[in-house]
This record gives sequence, structure tokens and C-alpha cells, in this order.
Amino acid sequence: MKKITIGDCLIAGEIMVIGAAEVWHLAAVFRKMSFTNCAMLLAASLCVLFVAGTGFLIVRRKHIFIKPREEHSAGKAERVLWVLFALIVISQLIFVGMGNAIYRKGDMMAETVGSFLVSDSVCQVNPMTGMPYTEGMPLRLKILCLPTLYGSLCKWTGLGPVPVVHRIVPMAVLLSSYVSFSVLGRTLFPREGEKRACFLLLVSFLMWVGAYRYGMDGFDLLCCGFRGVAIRGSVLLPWTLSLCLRRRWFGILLCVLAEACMVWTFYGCGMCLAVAAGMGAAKLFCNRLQAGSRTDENSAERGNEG
Amino acid sequence: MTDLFRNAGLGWADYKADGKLAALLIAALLYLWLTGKAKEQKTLILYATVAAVCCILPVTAVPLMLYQTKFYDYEWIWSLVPLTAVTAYGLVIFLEGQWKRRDGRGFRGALPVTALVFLAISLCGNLGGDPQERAEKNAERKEAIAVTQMLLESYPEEEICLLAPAGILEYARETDPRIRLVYGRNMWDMSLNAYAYDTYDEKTTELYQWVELVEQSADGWMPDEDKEEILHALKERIRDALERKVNCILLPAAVPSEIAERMEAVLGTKARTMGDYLVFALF
Repeated sequence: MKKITIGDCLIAGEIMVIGAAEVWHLAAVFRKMSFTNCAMLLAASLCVLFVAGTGFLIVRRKHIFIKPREEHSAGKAERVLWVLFALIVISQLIFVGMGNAIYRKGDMMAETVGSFLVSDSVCQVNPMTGMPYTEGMPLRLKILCLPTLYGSLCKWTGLGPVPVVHRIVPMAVLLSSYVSFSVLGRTLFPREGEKRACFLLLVSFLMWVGAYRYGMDGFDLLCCGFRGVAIRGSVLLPWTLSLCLRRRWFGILLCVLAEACMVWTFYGCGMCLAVAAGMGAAKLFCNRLQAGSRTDENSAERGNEG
Repeated sequence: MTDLFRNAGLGWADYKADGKLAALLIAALLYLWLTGKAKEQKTLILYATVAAVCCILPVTAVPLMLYQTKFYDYEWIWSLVPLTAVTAYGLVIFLEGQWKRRDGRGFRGALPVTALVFLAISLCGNLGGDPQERAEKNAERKEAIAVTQMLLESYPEEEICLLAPAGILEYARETDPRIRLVYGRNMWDMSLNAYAYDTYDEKTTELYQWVELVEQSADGWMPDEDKEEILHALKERIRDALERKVNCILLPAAVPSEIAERMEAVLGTKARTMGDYLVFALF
């Protein structure tokens, strides 16, 4: 599958949102802009992005939206699989929405967002105590933009940090994750709707089962979906895999940048870059192997002819 | 470096101990390679195999841990392995084989296999984590939030700087970010200290230890020496707290009466009961 799908556009749109949040977050950190202004400017930027995105979709609709005749009609088994998948996703949305399984160890997102809102500044107050920083914080962490994005959501909606950070954002991340896995499913099974549905059903089931331990995909998605590492693991990495399989390098670059804006990575080289490099190396190896076996076959054929 | 190698070795042992999704991935990879079904998505399967092997072997896991920065624990190097995607892919291919083989004979043959596959998956982990542990955590959280909200309702106009047992402080800033604390969650959750260069001085740490000791005294029997230690250090700890601008102290209502009385005398204020807690407010 080489085409850009609506799923690709949605994930790319999310990355654009993260990019816009990063721009205004950096402006707030380095130019000491108030958080209210930061949230307002972010809202304006997102409006512009939304208009531009809608325009892009309208202009490229023929390339993006699959025509009904191109898409096969779903059989009975496929429909059952889709229904089961939808039921699992709904159960997960309820689970996340109840907010009873939030894992906060080693994370202070809700407190950070609350500090931004109360102090009307970015990274000036220690989220743990509410007192101004005495020594400050590492620059690599200071530039991570998710608290600004979540804080802005609180500003726009009037909701508190806890419902936004622990419920609304993880629910959105959960849905985005399935969009991302659906794009990967479409890449792995381009013409087999039934297998795609089965793939997504198994992914969603594995997410439930994998909620047993911190660091597992399921746990990150269902118990701490607001964290940068969870977004990376469940949204960016499946999309990166799909992009690598389709050799869409620009999208991979977007993933690498988005990860650098959200997660404390090794000088900006995070897991997306490592996965892309690994997939590139694997592809190269497979190509070499294929070329080698072709050469062997040709020489064997020539030998037979001789 | 030795620590890193030890962490990598122990990390893998720990990673596979809790659940068996890693084992399921290995099973899926073996199935794909051994049946020759890996060739359709050779790049992805080859990459997943190499990445999984690199995460399992300590020699290769250590460079990966260094790459992701030492801030993250061993389990995060598994982000490199497309565990969920490849396991699901392997299972789809396996199930497809089962359904194709029995296509002519209807559901009877493939359905039990499919059910067994789903059963095997669910035995590899658990659906939604440990419910009992979650229920306990939620009960603690609810109690802390209720007490903090009562405090905020009692003193709506005040800028509260709170000193309380860890169970209350854990959720205080989340309940209302206007509340200030002398020390926060990073006093007992050390991993949070990576987010700032700020550290707590010795007096603040002693204050934390003293409050925890006072909380223990409320749980029931306590050796006389410990009780003596609490009373002996009380005046100094209260002075430290006031120097750090604390204006509200919350202690369990079940603390021995001599501690509560001494607190009232030192602070010059009457304790007020709020749920299961005593509030010493200095407003």
C-alpha cells in the first residue's frame, strides 16, 4: 500500500498539533510569555492548521479517500470481527474514562499542568511543591511541550488538570493508537479486510492483556496514556513501522521530531529514529539477500543452459 | 557499567516474570520463521527478531539502555520491539492457516483453535491489571482528596502551605494546584527528582521522617522510645516547618493525646477535627 490514507492524515495532523504546541511552549519558556497568552496563540495556530488541513483534504480527496468500488464489501465474518473490535475499544474507553487505573509513579503531568495554570507561567514553579524553583530544571525536560498542550486544553475548556490529563487525553490517545494500528494493518494486509479486522481485534485484545506491567504497550495505553512515552509507543511507533514499510521518509521525520518534543530522548535521537534505522537496515539486508539469491539462480540457469 | 549489565540481566528476568507477552512474541516469531510465512513481511519480521534478541541479551541491551538515556528503566528498551504489532501479525497468519485448512468443513475445526488462541493470549497477562491493588490505591486517593477538599472548603480565602502525612500530600497538589507544600511526592518517589535540579535540605528530610513517625504513632502501639523521640523533636520540627512558611498542619486524629496537646501548646492554636484528621491552622 503506497497511498496516503485518512489515517495517515489524522496522525500527521496530531503531530502538527504537537509541533504547534512546541513552538508556543518554547516561546513561553524562553521569552517568559504568560501561559494565558501562550494558550491563546496556540488556539489561533490550531485554527489556522485546521483550515489548512481541511483545505489539503479537499484538494487531495481523490488520492486520500478510498472510492467505494476500490474497497471490497465486507463479508459476514469481517463484520463480526469489526463488531468485536469495536466492543473491545468501547470497553477500553470506559476503563480509561473511569480514571481508576491511573499510574502516576515517576510522573507529575497533572501537577505540572496545574502549576502552569495557577502561576500563569511556564516552568517557573516546582510542580511538586508549588514554590518557585531554586535551582531550576534540565533544559532537555524544559522544552517538552505536552504540559503546555494539556494546560491549553484546560484553559479552553475550563476543565481541571486531572480530568483532562487523566481521562480526556488518554481516551484521545487510545483512539489515535487504533488509527495508527489500523494504518499499519492496512500496510500489512492491503487487500484483505478480514485479516485487517482480525489484526486490529488481536491488537486490542493484546492491549487488554498487556496491561499487567509498567512499560508494556497495553499498560501505557490504558493506565498512563497521557505520557509522552505512551504516545510514542502506541501512536508514533506503529505509524513509523507502517511508514518504513511504505518508504515514506518524510512521515518518519515527523515522528522523530514529535518524539523529541514529547519524550526525554538521547540528544533528540529517540526510539522512532532507532526503529526507522533498524527497519532500513533490515530492508537493505533483505534486498541484498534477494539480489544474492537471484544472482545464484541466474548463474545456475546459465550453468544448466551451458 | 557493571550496574548497567546487572540491570539488563535482572531487567529481562523481571520483564518476563510478570506476564508472558514476550514469550508469545517469541512463539509468533518462531512460527513465522519455521513455517516460512515470514517472507511476506520479511523486513518487519527480521527487524522484530533482531530487536527482540538485542533486548534479551545483556551485551546488546546495555548499549540500548545507554542510547535511551539512563533516566529510563530496562523495560523501555522494549519500545524498539514492535511486540504488539508482530504478535498480532503472527497470530493472524496462524489463524488464517487454521480457517483456510478447515474451510470446507465449516467452523467446527477452526473455532476451538481460535478460542484456544484467545485463551492462551489471556493467560499471558491479565485483563486490566490487578483489580485489588487498584481498588486499594483508589480508596487511598479518594480519602486524600476528600480531606484536602474539606480543608479547602474550611479555609477558602487562605493560601495554604500544608504539612501532612505522605498519603495526603501525594494527591494534594493534584486536587488543587494552589496548595503549596514544604515537600512533595518526590520525597518518597525518587524517580521524580530527575525532573528538577532542586533538592531538599536535611531539615526538610527530617521533617518528613518526623511526620511519618507521628503517623505511625496513630496506627496503634508504638515503642516508648519512639514516642519519646517524637515529643523530644517536636519543638524543633515545628520551628523548621514554620521557617518554611507552613501555615497548616494535618495529623491523624488517632495520634496519642500528648502529641496533639504539645502541638497545640507549641503552635498556640487549637486543633480542629476534620474527618479522621486533626488540623492545626495558623491563619
